[in-house]
Amino acid sequence: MPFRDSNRNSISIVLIGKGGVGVLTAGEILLTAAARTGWYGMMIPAVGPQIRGGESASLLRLGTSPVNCLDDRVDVLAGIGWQHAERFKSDISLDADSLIVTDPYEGEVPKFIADSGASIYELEMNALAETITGGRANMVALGYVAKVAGIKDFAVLQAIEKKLGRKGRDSISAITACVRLGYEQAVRASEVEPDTAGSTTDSRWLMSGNHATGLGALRGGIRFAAAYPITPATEILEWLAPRLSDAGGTLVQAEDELASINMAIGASYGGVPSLTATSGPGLSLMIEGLGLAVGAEIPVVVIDVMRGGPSTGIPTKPEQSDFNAAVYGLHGDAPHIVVAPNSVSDCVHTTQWAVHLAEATQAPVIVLSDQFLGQTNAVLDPVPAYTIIAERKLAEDVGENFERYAITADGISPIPLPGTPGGQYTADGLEHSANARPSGLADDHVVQLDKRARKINGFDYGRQWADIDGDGEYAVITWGSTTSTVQEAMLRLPAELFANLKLISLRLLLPAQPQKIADVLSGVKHLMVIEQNHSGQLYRFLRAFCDLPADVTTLHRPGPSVFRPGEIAERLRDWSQQ
Amino acid sequence: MSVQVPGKLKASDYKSDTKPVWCPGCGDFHVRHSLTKAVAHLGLRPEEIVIVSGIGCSSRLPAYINCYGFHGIHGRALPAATGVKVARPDLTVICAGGDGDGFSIGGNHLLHACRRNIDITYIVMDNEIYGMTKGQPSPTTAPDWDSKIAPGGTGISPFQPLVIALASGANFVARAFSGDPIGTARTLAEAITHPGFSFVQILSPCVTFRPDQREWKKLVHPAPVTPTSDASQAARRVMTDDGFNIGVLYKGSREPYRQSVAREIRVERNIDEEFLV
Amino acid sequence: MSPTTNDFSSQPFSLGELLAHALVVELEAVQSYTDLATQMSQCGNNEVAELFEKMSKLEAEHVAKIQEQIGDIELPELAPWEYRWPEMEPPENIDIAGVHYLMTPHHALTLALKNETSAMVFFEAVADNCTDQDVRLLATEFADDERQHVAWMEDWLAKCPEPGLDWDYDPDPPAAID
Repeated sequence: MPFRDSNRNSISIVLIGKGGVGVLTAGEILLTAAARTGWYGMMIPAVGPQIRGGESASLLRLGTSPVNCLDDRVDVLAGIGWQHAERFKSDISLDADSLIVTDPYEGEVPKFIADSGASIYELEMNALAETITGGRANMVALGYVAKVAGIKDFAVLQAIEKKLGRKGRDSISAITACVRLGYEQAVRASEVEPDTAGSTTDSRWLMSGNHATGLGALRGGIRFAAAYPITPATEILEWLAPRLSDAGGTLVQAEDELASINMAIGASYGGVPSLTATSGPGLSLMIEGLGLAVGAEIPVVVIDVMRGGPSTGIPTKPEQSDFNAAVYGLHGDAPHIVVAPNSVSDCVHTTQWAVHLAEATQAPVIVLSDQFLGQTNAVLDPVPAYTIIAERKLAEDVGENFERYAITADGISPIPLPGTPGGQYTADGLEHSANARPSGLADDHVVQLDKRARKINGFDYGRQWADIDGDGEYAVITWGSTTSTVQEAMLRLPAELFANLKLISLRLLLPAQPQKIADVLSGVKHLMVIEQNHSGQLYRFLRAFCDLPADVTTLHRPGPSVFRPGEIAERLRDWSQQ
Repeated sequence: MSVQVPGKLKASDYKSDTKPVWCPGCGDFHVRHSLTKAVAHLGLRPEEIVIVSGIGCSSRLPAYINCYGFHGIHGRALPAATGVKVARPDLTVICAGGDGDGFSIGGNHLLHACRRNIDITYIVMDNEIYGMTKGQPSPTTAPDWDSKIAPGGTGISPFQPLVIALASGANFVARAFSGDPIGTARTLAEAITHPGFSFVQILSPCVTFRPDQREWKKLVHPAPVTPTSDASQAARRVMTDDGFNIGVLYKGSREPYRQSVAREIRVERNIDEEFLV
Repeated sequence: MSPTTNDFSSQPFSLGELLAHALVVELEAVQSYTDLATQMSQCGNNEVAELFEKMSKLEAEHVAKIQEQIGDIELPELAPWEYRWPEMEPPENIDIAGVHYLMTPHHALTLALKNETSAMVFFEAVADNCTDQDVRLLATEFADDERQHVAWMEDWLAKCPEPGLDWDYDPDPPAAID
């Protein structure tokens, strides 16, 4: 059973089953085992609406080079149960080259799956599991699939030990025995071997985007976090809680998002780099607080792990539809910064960068991550330490005529931290004069507005503002998690189009960079903007702020299903042929 | 006011150049005076004090005292103050505001601040009205008080801040009256010194919209019993008093909120290691 | 009203105590009048602002005199609530309830007269209660100083027109500034 050839050697696996069978656990173990074997890869969980017992799926993709998006099709689909499989229809696209693994005990393979023409292998997972005391069907399936994918058995056993070690020796023996049974049933399906020559597999990392975000925050110097749980951001806060404490910081669980943002701002006013993490509904609640941080010039970082919107939306699925809220949501003229990581790995650096930006500009920075990045577990090369660290300009020598909001060339004025003798001032959301007294005068307002705009617009964002690849008359602008999918789609294009196509993945979304965009689009005659939301939010923003080529088109659609490389490649091909 | 001893802090050390926008006759002038006396007596240096407030007449207080101040958004003074105190346990953090800011939009935060027992002092200048916005009933206004926005009165039972604070775990609960500046100063000094969340409701008449509150001067009286350490007893007393008992009503011994930002690493950890495959 | 129940007349004042109390009376008076002057000028009530400024300067003279009297004498360190006042408040603490942004000089002087009178009464009471001759003399001297102020207030008040019936009429409504 061959793998489909592509420019990348990869295999896509989906495990599917009803609640209670441990589909997600099996998926995690599979990914860990693959990583130990030398594969790169990613796994993202998909769940039904029930809290327990609901159908779920593990969507995996393994590759010989870093994998950041799912493929269009699935090579191996193992059904540990077919209940409500149609929920995952958009995630299981099979064809004649695919393999379906099914247990006849669980009933017929659903028609929409069987109709694909894929080969079907009947594996009696349940019966085999029953031959072992404490055996589980998902572990039999796991062993089978591991062998098919070329994952070494020792790696699977190590992964089981790591993931389930605390369950005790008897449990581990039973699980191991099930895995062996499954393994024995399978035939190695492909000649593809992961390339381990380039790096030692020992040094690779396995992490989720949410954990990567937490790491970036710690590295950036965050030492205070306020937390209110919300899907899919909660993991960031739970990961940070003990680690912040060990680092000398602290995390406080707040009573709501209104408290979270205000706690973070208060702690930051006290001098400690601070953040909170939330999703769309929480961001909406925090918007007033963000305005306070703008007006009073207090650094703060807010991570928004975007999910389907609007309102309660689709909490467990990604979308890139909070762009407007993050960019335009604040009342008044409120310059601030919005950044977006474009891969799981990039969550580390971009979050750290966000801390630096907030501290340096004394303003709020919103980090737009999304559920796909946040909850994808990915195998990646270790993320090196970043040379920039957070820096707040402090006023240590406070003289007689010190002014907290003094007008400076770059718009940034030194802050006296509470405790600094002589620096006493009241930070205020009210408009104020340079000496921090509330003021409603026209001159003060315009001068302070100019200052706050100047410090954001004039800041040197360096090379991190975008990732730019390639050159040519065609260009694609995208951002966030869509980036990897576009990159993969580009690899499938005919050579002459590929050679004539530039990819621009924006990391800095706000402030707009019309000059940089004009420079990067010089020579570009055809532009496509690709994003995952219903109304083309980035596209509208670019139209508003930037000069674009005459021929601009857009590819945008909402969640819950992420873009697949095939659909983008097809669109790019059609586009270039017009 | 302490006698002028060289080296000791005087009221003038806390004098701010910012002139209050309060109406002459406002009770908040007395509150400012009392607070200044209290912190001078306690020897708290101006740069070591942070006053955090929300929005409203009373919330203008931070700029009117020479100390660090944070004039935040409506109803959110307590979480901001919590953030400041957790980040800077070395500073004295005082949270201030009015009854609208604190008990309406801020009501939820009051509950949780009491629960946390964070070591700050919360002063609410209660004038039973939204003064800044020109005279709407607040959570502590009597149900039959007539206004444009609620003709004939709201008909709703007034909020009982002291009982709520007791039930939620506040460690120090007191009522004061702005027209008794020395007594208020003493209560504030005690509140600031007492560990954990200290809540002081200061009846502070609104001269512009509640001229009837001139009568308060005649109605207030010292609380007839000494402060108790039994929260339920204190709650019962407060629920059955006439609302004009002045004095420290409750002093508890709960441990204050423990979490804070330290200056040094607590446990050495190589975070990167946990991601290794 | 304050929880303190210091009994004013239980013990005669020592010299140090008298000086400490006198200083507080005058310093508080200076501060009160200065604050009121600021409040009045904020409201554009310049006539009354000037009046309170004048009062503040008068009290400052008293402060200077008392500080001279104190010289090197070590005063007792007292918390604000440890002072013994007949009315639980320092005599010259302005009752803010009598303050109004449209108050007339007549109102201001009435307030000031009340204060000077209670200060005078305070020092007289201290003097009456004294056993030490020197302290009694000093207390009497302070009472006389206040009596002088009382006389001035009465005099100025007599020359001051009474407020009209509509003294507090403001055709404009209050402003909502936040």
